Amino acid sequence: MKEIITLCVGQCGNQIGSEFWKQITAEHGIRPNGVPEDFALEGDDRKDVFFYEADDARFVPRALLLDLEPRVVNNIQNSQHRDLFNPENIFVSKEGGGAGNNWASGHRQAEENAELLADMLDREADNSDSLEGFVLTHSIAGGTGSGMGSYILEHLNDHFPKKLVSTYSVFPNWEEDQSDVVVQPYNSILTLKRLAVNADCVVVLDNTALNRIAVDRLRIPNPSVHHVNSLVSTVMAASTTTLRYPGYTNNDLVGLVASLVPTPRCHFLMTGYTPLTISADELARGDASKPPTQLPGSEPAGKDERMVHTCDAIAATRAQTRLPTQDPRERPPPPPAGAVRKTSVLDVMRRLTQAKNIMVSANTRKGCYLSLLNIIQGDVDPTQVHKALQRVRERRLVSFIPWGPATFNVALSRKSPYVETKHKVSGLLLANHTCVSQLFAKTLTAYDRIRKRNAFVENYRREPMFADSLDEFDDSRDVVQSLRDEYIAAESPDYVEWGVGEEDDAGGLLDDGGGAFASDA
Amino acid sequence: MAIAPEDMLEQLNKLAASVMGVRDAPEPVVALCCRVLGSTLATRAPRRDSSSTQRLRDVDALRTKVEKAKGARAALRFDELRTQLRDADALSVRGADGLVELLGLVSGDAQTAAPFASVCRTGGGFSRETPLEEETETPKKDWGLAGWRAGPPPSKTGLDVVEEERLLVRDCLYALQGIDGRYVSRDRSLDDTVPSVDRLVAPKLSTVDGVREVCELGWLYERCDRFCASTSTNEGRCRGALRAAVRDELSDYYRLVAVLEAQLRDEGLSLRRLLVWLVEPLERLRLLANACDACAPQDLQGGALCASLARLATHGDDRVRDLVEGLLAKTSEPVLAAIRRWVCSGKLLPDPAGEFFVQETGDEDDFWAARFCLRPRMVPAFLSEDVASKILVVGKTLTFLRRCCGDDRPAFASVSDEAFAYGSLNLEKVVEEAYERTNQRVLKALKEDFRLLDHLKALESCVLLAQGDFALQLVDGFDAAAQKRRGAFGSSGADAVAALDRAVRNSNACRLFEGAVQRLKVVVLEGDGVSFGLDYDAQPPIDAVVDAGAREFYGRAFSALRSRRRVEARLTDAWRSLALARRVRGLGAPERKALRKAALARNEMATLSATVSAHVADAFAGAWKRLDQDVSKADGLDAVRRAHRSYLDAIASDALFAPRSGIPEEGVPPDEDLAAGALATHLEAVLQAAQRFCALVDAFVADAVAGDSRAQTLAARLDDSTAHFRAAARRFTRLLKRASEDEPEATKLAFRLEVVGQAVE
Repeated sequence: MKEIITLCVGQCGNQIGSEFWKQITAEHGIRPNGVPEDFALEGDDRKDVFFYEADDARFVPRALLLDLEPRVVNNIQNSQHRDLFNPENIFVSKEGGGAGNNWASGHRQAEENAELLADMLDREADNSDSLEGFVLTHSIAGGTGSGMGSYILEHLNDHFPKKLVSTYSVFPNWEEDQSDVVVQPYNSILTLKRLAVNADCVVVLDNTALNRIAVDRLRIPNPSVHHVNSLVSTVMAASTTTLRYPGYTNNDLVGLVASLVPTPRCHFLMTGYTPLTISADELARGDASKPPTQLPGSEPAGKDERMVHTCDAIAATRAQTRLPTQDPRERPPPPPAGAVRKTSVLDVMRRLTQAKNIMVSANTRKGCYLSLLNIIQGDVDPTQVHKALQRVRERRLVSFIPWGPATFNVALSRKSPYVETKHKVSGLLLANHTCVSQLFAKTLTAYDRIRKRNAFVENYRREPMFADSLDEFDDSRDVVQSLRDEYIAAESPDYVEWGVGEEDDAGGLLDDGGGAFASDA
Repeated sequence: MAIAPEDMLEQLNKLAASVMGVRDAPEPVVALCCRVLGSTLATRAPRRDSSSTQRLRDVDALRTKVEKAKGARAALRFDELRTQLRDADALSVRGADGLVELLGLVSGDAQTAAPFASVCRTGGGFSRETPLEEETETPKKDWGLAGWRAGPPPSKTGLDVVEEERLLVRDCLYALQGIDGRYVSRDRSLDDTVPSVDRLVAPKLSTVDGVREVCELGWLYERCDRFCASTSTNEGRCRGALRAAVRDELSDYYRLVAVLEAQLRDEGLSLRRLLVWLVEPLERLRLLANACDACAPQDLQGGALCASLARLATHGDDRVRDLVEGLLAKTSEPVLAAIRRWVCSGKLLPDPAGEFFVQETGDEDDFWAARFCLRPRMVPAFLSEDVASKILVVGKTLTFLRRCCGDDRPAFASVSDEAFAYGSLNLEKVVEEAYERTNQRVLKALKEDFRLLDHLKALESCVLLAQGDFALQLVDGFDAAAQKRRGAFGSSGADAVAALDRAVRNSNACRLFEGAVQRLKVVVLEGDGVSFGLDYDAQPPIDAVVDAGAREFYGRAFSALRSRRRVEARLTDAWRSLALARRVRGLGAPERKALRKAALARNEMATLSATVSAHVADAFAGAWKRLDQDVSKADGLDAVRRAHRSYLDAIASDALFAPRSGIPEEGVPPDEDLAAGALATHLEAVLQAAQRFCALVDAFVADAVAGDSRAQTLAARLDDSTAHFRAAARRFTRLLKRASEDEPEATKLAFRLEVVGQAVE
């Protein structure tokens, strides 16, 4: 079997991570304390990909919870899932002061605890028969998830060079007023470089789009962190179903990623999901946890990593998503949230091509797909797939790269029998689309805006990596820029020749070997 | 009869000898005695009501008659013989008396005994061992007096007309029993088939016609009698039953002759009167003789015998039909008994003559398909082909249930005898019901008790490698084992077995039920090097569905699908090494360029491979869906077998692109390339090209990372390999396009390739 170790880093990483674990424990019929339900013992799911069985027959997640401040981890340890995780796998910095929204601080603190982290990783890796890879959940804009996450990416490349590294990375909202987390662009650029260089696959969780979907699709006027996290956990769980319920293909992470990533650097995947629902439970929980102005326990701005899912962010998203040309009065009355509709393979596949179901705040009508995987879950007649493909093709609902064949796979997967869902069929889109370059462009713009003034660099200069120079910023910017360029180039038929002529630019466009821990052999 | 025939014969011998005053009675006389005795005996039943005093009086009258005619000595002998016979308990009083009278006549009155004397002299002709050849020469079309002729006119004896007629009628009565008389005798030369009128005592046409009629009857009787007498060593039950039935019919005839004899003796009997008596028997015997002739060939046995009888039964005349039906009912009794046993308990009666239409071949290999078969000739006419084959299936199913499923319940707890009687309208209904019941039972046993679909799913998951995680590990494990084996020659397949175990344990194949996993067997495939295959040891009763042919197909499919899985795995490996190589620092620009080109080429190959594999997954799913539907609709094991067969056909054509086995439509010239399975060959070539490319990628990455100068040559070879792949892919897609004109599955694949942008020319 191919085991996967999940690393939840930082506040956001731990929050979405714990939601993910909540979701898949339910899907595998495992109680919050790790004890499997009697009815789940004989299932045809593979619990051992994400869990191992302790001596007392409890299922323990192959997960490390890492943070530099204790709040979120404490919350998890006080939740009903407190007994689920192996306490040895929880790391909270002794100082507990967090990274202060500073990538460099997160990176440094991780480095200071390198030995401890390495021990934890090694122990967990040794616990697996044939470890396939790591999954990292984090946000790229804060301090811990980005800085410490970056460190861990480098560390994994260094110590587990053969293992696959895939991440679920929360991208910040660039349009909002950046008054409180002004250094988001710095953190993002620095993290994006590591994602480009040290990760094999990045699933982009775009905060802007997630909030937009919560508002527009789920009809939640003021979506809370819980609402958004529930979307994220749905996507994360769905993207791992082919691993957990092995079928004909895509049963290992490498195979899954390889089919989606045609050239090694173009490995930023966007997601889509349909039908989007939110359970009454989540709805209530989300509303209850939503404070009038601020998240409970969120610390004053600037002091700590700012949760990306904030009310402000949501408000701003709503402002953004309601386009000025659209008069709210002209809209048809919204259907009640969670309305159940008839689902079929065709319906699901068609909806997955629609921009409104795609969780990236980039225009998918521009650009083209490099690859596409639809994971269809539920009670599906496999012979419908072909018809659905024909319809998608007839309607020209998707456009592919002009320079070569692009994978368009439909994987049929089982649905967990232990989790009741309203819809018979649901679908997840995992796609490699050139429009992701728009996200990089936005990041670059935001970065350039403050970097040009060298604003807020003082906190970074205090850290050893930036003590001598800010070259790392420029270096990272170059990587992100070339990433964006490559994605844009992929839209043209000349992509095959792209970058080939620029080989003199030593260490330039094609050279990903700039990582701090790049191996020599 | 309480006494054994041998004893009786001996008794008669003694009797005849003593009466005739010779030491050993001539054999024909004894035979004649038997004959007379038979006819006299046969009259016993209707005469039973006559009181014993009446009978005594008759006997006394007879004794007086004998005394008057032959004197006291003869009367004494008569008494003696009577007592002797009565003591032997061989005969009824009446029968004994008749016999004694006959013998008395034989020994005493020379004149009246003449015919018998002549019989004694000539010998032959009356014994039951009459050679058959002689009879077959009888011209059949001359049904009247064939072989009979009238003797010299009785008038020459100087008797009066009344006596003449009496003698003629007596001769007629003899003729009725196939005995030559004085005036009416059997002509063995067969030349004179029609008696000449002037030789008859009364040259009246009516008399000649009358005698002719009587003679015909005698001739018919002989035919029937001969049929009854003919036996063979390997005689079937049906023939025996038919003979008994014919004998039954003849006994009526004997009875009549006896009555007529009595009448002639007591009251006198005119020829005309005789003829009236004989109208009905003539008709019956004609039919009977026809039936006997139809059934005469010894190779007609069992059902075939019934069938030839049944042909006669289709007659508009009720009497004809009734008679033949009566014979048929008795003849088919053994068949019906066999059917009953077969349908109720699935067992065959001992059938040395091969009369039953179900035959056991003794084939142990393919119990269901080959163990029992139909003898089409032996199907009785009253069963339609459909019912006969249903009967075969019912018993086969019961046997199968008993032998392979451990279920030895009969089809019915009890069944009425009436259903299995001849002419029962319920037979078909009963067979139908048994068919339904046993089929439901065997289906339930297969589907529920022996988990047929789980077995087939296991075959699909493991042998057809549909379980992706299992396939990945097994393919690598087998390859590693084969590699190792190549190194250390002579080692066993233990590594392969271990690889199989590992693959099962570490994949969802371990979720298959225990029984399925145990049946997976590693086989060593010798050929181009050593490799390992996977077999599924389907035990009974599953092997009735997954038979040897199916297993062989599964074996071939495994090899084909494994090579596809292998290519998939190698393409993923190549992706991994390319992804790792990009992180290596200090690679020169040419290497980076080559890496990039390789990544794009790999993507092309992976897309094609993934598209094919998605198509295969689709084909599997579609085939399985149909199989599932067919099996749930199946009304018997044969339908399940058919469903499985067409499932395999679907896999072969849709997933493997194996050559179509069917004959191409007429008028459409078969596309030779396609017919020969060129699609599969070309696809294989494409995938092999991809696999070679992957090996080159690994070598290139290793050299490039190590800074080896060979990397450049390898880069050039990578380009060649890519070109080679593209050419192969072009050939494949071109062929696919051609195939897609009439192959829906090829169309689907072509469409899929088109969707992903693989140029389909």
